[in-house]
Amino acid sequence: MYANLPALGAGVGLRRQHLQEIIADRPTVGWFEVIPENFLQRGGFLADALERVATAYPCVGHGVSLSIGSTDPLDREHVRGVKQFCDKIGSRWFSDHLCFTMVDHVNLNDLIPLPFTEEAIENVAARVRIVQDILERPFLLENVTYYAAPSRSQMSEAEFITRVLERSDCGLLLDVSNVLLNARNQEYDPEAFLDSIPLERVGQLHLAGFEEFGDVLLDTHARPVADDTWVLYRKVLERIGRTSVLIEWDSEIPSLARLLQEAEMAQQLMDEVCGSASVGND
Amino acid sequence: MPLADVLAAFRTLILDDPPTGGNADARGAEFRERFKDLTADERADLAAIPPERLGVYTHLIFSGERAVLQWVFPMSLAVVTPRLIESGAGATVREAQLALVRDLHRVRPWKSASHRDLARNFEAYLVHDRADLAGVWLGLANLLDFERTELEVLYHSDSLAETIAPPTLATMSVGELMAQPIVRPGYVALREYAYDLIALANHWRREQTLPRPLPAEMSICAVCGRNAELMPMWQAVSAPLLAGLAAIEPETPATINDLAQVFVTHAADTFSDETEAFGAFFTEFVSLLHVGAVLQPR
Ligand SMILES: [Fe+2]
Repeated sequence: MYANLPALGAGVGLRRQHLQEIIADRPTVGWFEVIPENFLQRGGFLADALERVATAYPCVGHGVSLSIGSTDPLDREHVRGVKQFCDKIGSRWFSDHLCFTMVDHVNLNDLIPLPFTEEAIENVAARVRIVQDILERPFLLENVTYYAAPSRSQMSEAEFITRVLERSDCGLLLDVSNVLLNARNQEYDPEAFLDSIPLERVGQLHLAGFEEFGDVLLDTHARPVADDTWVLYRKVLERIGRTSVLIEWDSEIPSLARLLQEAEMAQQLMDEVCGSASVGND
Repeated sequence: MPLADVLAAFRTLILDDPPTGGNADARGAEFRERFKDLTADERADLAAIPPERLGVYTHLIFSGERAVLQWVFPMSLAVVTPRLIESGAGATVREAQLALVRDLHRVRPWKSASHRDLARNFEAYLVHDRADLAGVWLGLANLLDFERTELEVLYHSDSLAETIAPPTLATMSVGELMAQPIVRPGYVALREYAYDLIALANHWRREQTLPRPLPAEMSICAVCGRNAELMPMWQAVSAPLLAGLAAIEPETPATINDLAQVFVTHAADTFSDETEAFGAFFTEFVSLLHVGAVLQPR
């Protein structure tokens, strides 16, 4: 596992809608992924609930607004806020997306793919080094879905990701669903993709549901994990072994029980492929 | 920096002005005019992207913003959406609201990742830039403020003060009670509205629809604090009590007497004597404790 990170087994995203139930019922689940943007600089119910959850479960931070590929100045104040947040919830690592969300100081409120270019690699790498210095814990970049990339003429997505990770010397949050979606939408072989990226850098996995939208599959996080994704997840586990995997379901959010069922499936598959060692070992 | 130009061009294409050219060649010619700072290769890469694929991002971005606004402003959106549909902004609720969000982004772009900023933009946009929608119901400006205030109270940083349990006050003498130190926490919002929005919100929670016709004018004073679960909660209060709360600096120690004195002064015409006024004050004061509008110094 990248940077000797612990394998926490299957977890789910911590959503506002489930907080009361989690605190009252203490369901069994390996861990929670927490989006700092949903809790940073907030008091009241949200701060109180997060503190209770973080006392009872392993929690790991996952950002959505670092905009690591942007050419706007890096928001160091935000990164320092994230560092404090990670300290508070005991986050062993932190992740955000290999994309940009801000351009010319306008928030696009979505994960927009970067051009697969040398210049973008250098820009990301320089910013990741600053982020890692501030965070003082392993940092993972997540592969995003792309329906259109600003530029693909210099190199492939796999080469771009590989070079970014090596140049930045950071880990990979491998979103298995995003691999499948990109493979379908951009017409490549998902297994060949897996074999061409540095899997030794994987520190965590994501699994999510998708939907059809015209001629593309959309990464909506509004559905159960699809059968094909489970198949690809198994292939990833065969390659990397026991790890931490997270079910992303954050729009049209289901009941906590339904969400935990998906995590249970992810855990069972991991136990089946990797042997049923206890959760939490390295 | 060329990368900055590529990202800016991509942003323009997905957010503001999609390409008009029907094929890659036509788009190439179009982009030569529009994106003069890009290299020929960069322009060719962008021109190769089918416009429908760019449209996927447009759809995702505005759907995401709409989801945030639906969460913060469910009632305000319900007020304006029928007018949007009538005016041809979209055939369905979803389409009409997406068109609204798209125009919001054009007029008042969202320049941070903060929900609070987006909410402020939306409120200002409807009040100042959309007279056609603000005119649907004269209470809309109040309602936008009411819904945004709940978000502010939910997110506000915590007070250093702590909850007062009503039973501890019940055992005190009048002198002790008056000298009891209190704090108005920073998260508390004090409002006067021309419409009874607390009743409107209760109706919405029960029925998930707005009452028709929408309420007529009826002034209320209201306080938004936090309930036992620390969630935002409104409490209707009298004008004298609102004046009393307004007279206390937030997060600054005061006494119950400070609050009571302002109340009694403002309520002088309403009650026959001071005893009756103080009685009314204490009855109302207890309601403030349930919404965490008054705490005690730690
Ligand atoms: Fe993901």
